[in-house]
Amino acid sequence: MSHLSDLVLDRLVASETDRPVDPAVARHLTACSRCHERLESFRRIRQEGEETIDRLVSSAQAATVHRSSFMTNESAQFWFRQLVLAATIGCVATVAFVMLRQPTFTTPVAGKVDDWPAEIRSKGESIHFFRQRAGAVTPGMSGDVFLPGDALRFVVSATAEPTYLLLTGIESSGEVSAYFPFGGSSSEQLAAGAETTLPGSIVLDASPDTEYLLAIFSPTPIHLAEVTQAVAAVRSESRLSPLELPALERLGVPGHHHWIVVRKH
Amino acid sequence: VDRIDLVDAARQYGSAILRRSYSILRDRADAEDIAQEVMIILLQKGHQFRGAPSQLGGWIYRLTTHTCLNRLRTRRRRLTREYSSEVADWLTVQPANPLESLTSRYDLTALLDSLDELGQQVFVYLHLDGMTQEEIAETTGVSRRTIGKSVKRIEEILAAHAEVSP
Repeated sequence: MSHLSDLVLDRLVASETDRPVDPAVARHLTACSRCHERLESFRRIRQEGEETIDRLVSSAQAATVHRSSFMTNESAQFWFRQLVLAATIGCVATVAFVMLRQPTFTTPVAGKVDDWPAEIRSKGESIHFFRQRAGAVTPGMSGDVFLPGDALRFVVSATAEPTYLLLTGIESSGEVSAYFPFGGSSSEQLAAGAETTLPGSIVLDASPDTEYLLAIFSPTPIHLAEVTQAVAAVRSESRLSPLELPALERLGVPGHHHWIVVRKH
Repeated sequence: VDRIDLVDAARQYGSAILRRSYSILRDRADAEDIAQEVMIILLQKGHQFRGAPSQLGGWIYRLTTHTCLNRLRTRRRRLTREYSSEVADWLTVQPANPLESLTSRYDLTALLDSLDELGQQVFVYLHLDGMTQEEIAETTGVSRRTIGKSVKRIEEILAAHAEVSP
């Protein structure tokens, strides 16, 4: 008998509490130290990962109930407290990382933060965001796959004064929406130097299309209509349907552009 | 599926989903994302599973493999994230096959580009999971003969790869 496959070992670990072991498999495990060791390592992984699995299952259960909406500032207050906690932990961890020059893994704190913040930073501006899913907040990354009901919240900063920000969402169909200022028609000025948590959060709907979030930092206000027209022009020129990032990156709108790709499941 | 409690199934196979996601993607954050996607699909579509309860593990394996391969195909430029060796070790066990060096993330991505969708799945089952051709046929629902042809094609590609990268 050749060595036992991972499928056999995983089945064994997954069901060993409620199903007798196949006699041939049991004999092999007795005789083969390699497979026996692998089985033990699978068991160990399962035991050590129980907490993670519980969290993932709970999130998966919660994610099956969703709706599309934009949260109000009031409903985001709970969020804000969590984000402050998340941002604080992220900053402390980042400082520790830079000082020690040795990567460390941040221990999950109350199940809220277990990763490094993903940040897009250039020319004195930065934008990063957090994803909330089933009550757990984790840093988000451009290109990640998100689920219906996932809520995204953004933290930005700029050093130059004045700096204006327009955060837009561009659907692959070409539809453009303003997320900051929400529903607004042009950029809003940011406070220089400090990190700003943008009000409200984007709650993703069940549409499976990819959405491109474009943050435009500029020294003067940018009008949403400029973005809408530029997207329409790109769409017309490239004849792409749906739109894709390489084409969108050629948008003829002034300012510094930061793109976040939101792939939806 | 009335006979199977899908939440229980997600808990039972959660470790397997997470471990194999990590073994394919080599990234803990990606592996957790994929594990969650797989669990959601399991909870949402598990009732469509028509096999025996004992076959559910194979179905989940196929679903996990498919989801991971999709992630590899569409992976975009990511910021580098680093983890302590303890965290990486948490999920790492030796691959079933000694061709481990061929299944590092970058090599795997390059190799997968040379294969069709079935070939990609067969490659993962064969070289990452150490499955026999019979097990692959059972898991994929494809005939043993077709799997055999796919394995032959993979061996040719690996041989060519070995010539290029001694």
